[in-house]
Amino acid sequence: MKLTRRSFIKFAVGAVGGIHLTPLPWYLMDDAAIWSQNWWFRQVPKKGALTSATTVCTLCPGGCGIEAGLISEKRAIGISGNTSHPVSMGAVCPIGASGPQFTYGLSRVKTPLKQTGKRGDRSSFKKIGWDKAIEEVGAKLASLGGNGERLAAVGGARGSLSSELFSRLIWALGSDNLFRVPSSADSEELASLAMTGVRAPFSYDLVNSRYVLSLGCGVFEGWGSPVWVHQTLFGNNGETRLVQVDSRMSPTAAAADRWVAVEPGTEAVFALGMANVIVQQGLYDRGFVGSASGFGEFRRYLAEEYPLDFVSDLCGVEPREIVSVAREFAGVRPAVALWGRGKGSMPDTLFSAMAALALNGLVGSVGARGGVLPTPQPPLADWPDLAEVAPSAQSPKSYLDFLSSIEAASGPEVLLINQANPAYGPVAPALFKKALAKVSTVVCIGSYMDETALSADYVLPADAFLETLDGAVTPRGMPYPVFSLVSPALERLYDTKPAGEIILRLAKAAGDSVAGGFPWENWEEALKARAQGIVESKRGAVSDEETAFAVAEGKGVKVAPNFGDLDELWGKLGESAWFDPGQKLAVDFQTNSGRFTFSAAGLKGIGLGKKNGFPRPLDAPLSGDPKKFPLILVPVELLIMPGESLGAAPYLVKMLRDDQLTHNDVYADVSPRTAKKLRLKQGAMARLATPQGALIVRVNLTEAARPGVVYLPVGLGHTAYDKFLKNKGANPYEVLEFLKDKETNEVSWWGARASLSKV
Amino acid sequence: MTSHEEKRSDKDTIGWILLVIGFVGALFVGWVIFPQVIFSKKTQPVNFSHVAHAQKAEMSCEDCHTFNDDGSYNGIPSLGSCAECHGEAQGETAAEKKFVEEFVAKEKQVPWLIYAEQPDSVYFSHAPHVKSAEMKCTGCHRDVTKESLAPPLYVNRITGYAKTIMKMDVCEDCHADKGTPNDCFTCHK
Repeated sequence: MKLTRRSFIKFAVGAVGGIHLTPLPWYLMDDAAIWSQNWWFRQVPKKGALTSATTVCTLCPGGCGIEAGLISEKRAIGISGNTSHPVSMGAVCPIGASGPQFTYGLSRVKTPLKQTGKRGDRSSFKKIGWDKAIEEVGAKLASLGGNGERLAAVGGARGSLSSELFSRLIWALGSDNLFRVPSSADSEELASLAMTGVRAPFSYDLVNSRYVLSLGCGVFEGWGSPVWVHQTLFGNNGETRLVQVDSRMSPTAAAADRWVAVEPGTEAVFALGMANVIVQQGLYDRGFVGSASGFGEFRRYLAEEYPLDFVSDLCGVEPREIVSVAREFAGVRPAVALWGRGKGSMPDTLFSAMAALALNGLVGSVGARGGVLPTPQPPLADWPDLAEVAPSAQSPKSYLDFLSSIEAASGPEVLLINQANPAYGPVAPALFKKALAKVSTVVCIGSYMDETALSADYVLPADAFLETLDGAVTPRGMPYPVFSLVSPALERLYDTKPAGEIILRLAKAAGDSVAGGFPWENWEEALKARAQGIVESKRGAVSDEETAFAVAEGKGVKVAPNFGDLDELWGKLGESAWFDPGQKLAVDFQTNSGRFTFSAAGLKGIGLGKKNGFPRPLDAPLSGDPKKFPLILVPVELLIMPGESLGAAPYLVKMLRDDQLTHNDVYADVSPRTAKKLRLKQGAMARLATPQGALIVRVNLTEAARPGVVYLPVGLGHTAYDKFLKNKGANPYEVLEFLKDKETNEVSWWGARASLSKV
Repeated sequence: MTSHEEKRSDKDTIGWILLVIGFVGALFVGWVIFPQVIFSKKTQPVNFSHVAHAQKAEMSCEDCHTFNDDGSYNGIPSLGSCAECHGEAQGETAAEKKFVEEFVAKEKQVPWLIYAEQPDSVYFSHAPHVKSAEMKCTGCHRDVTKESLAPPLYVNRITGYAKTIMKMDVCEDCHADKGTPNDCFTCHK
């Protein structure tokens, strides 16, 4: 018998047949598939122990206490609310929940940068060391020789101690060209100064209000301290009636008990129309009004300027609806009227803020349970007096006038920007960019390569969310003083420093006369110096879960200090915030008369209030020929789009619906009636033009939009940042009209005349 | 007749024998050799005796295998829990001596081999299974109560996963029986 090829083949056939009757081929196929899923280049996060760290969110002025879930104490994987924090009470908003994406995002500036080529050229930014950066910028500041005109600054949000330190630096350098990012808090402050004598924005004792009249406020869309508002209004078992006065059916309007659809921009006139009805029908609070001053003149003013038919015409609301809301408002106690369009960051006129405050005054809801009061601050110790006088006592300078004067003539030599993005918005970014060209040195303190950083000569990178150290005072709208310590939850990722530390180092490098006003070794020491005031006040307490929830449920809670000295306080502040819920709501009126005043005359002391009595709506209407621009463009602040100093994280951009953003096209909301007239179909590309410029958008037809009005969300249309945000959508700030309140020099914007045409 | 014709009528016996040999050989390789070879045998860095702890030391399962406040589960306790008793040797075994000298004294976490470890893509939480469904440990895990020697871990050389790993179909079957969701995102987040 011979071994032939055929016999070998038979062997092979036998073997192959046999092997198929064993697990081998099947297991190997499965194993091979799994092997191919485990190749080395597969991105798998490292395993580690799950820990958490407590801190405070810095992504909006809401000041929510949060807990960061971390792996191996290093990598943040999730954000939840801190249950013992009196602001957040265990909850977070979508922006806070997306927080880690801001920290780990692609647009972070990782080291100090110096522009060595043409401004705006990203590739010619060169890394420089901190010492060199501080030395060079410090030398430039020192060379100004205390001449305030040669310096200007744009500061970021209110409410953080690093912002306060920034203001201090500018004053120490002898300049009053300090412009804070405008918000409705600016006019609220002045309205409060005029009518109560206390210069502070409005706060509301929401937990005790039974009737809440929101004058265009995005109550569930990020207004005030968003999580606190949400927890408070939803937390009290539906006992509170919410009425939304708004031109569109916003999510707040949809959730409200009643929606009053008014012409955009007329919310304050509606409020005074209500006020007139309340006065004429004798429904006002006799006690409170009796003890106020200026009522007689105010009553005449209302009767002359805001008769029912006029208000009805202007607001586009039936007279009987005005009467109905007025009677409701005056009939339910406590009732409160909220002010601050959108998130409260849209700056508006003194007139509007005073209208809201006056309406509250008429029903006795000023400094009373469930009402409005000037925002109380925590009893922080003052930093030592500066030789220079802080201009807080003075009338505010006009940001618009300032930009125009630079653009027209010449600019300051140095422009310092702290955690703001004025080259993008919210006020006159086009004008700002033109003015920049006249400034010799632009220095940006911030965390991201945004539009302003891109145009800067120096970028000094600040610690971001979860990394930074700062102090946060009473958040917008909260009725009792709060102090939160923003402490690092994880080690910083890059070569950055807390904004407060950067400002402190600049101060120390800007010459002895300036450095003298900044005697602390480091930023933490400066924060502790302020916190010492809380220790000495012997008031309030660091909150815990039980206390925070009890206060939020409206239970009268008295707290006593649970800290003996600064070390104890500082340690406790790492877990929750200090607050004083027992502080009385009653206002100590500081007006000339010592009483609540229905007039702006009290502003004469700071050089404003030219007119006696009550201001009037802005004299100048929106510019543009109504025939050429028959529509009104109204910008809309969405809950998920962060303020102009932050570019939205990818999670947030993804949350935009297909009828808000598709690929790079943003949608403008338009009523089907209006769209039909313009022959625009759902999704059609259109040219949205205003006298200030034009944008390309798509149209979304919705009944939620008021006919004749075009609504466009803010927060998109970035030209900086990274691929997740850059070039998506359009920026309404480029085409809005920025008006100047002649009473106060403050900027006001709420819209623009517009036209929509097919592209 | 030529030899050529003889060959054509040859039954090729060798070939057929080889076919059978090949067949049987393949069966042997597939059923006996392959399972031996495909897995590598690994032993725990130091022996752990469940019998010694459960019986001699009279401990309960929950003394080491517990839920944390946030709902996560401690499958294998960390060195700290062991050191609470084993700061010094409690008995006389060589394994414990090694444990105390090489790990506790040096504060080095023991790199325990995990028999039930699932791939990264799988999300599993003990809480709904142990607390809500009240399953017994032995519903998924081997019965350790009689073990004085930690069994070796057989690891597939190609995939890196344990021989004892519970694959997806076992989870799916039980979920289907109980009426709990078998959606992809239930386990793959």
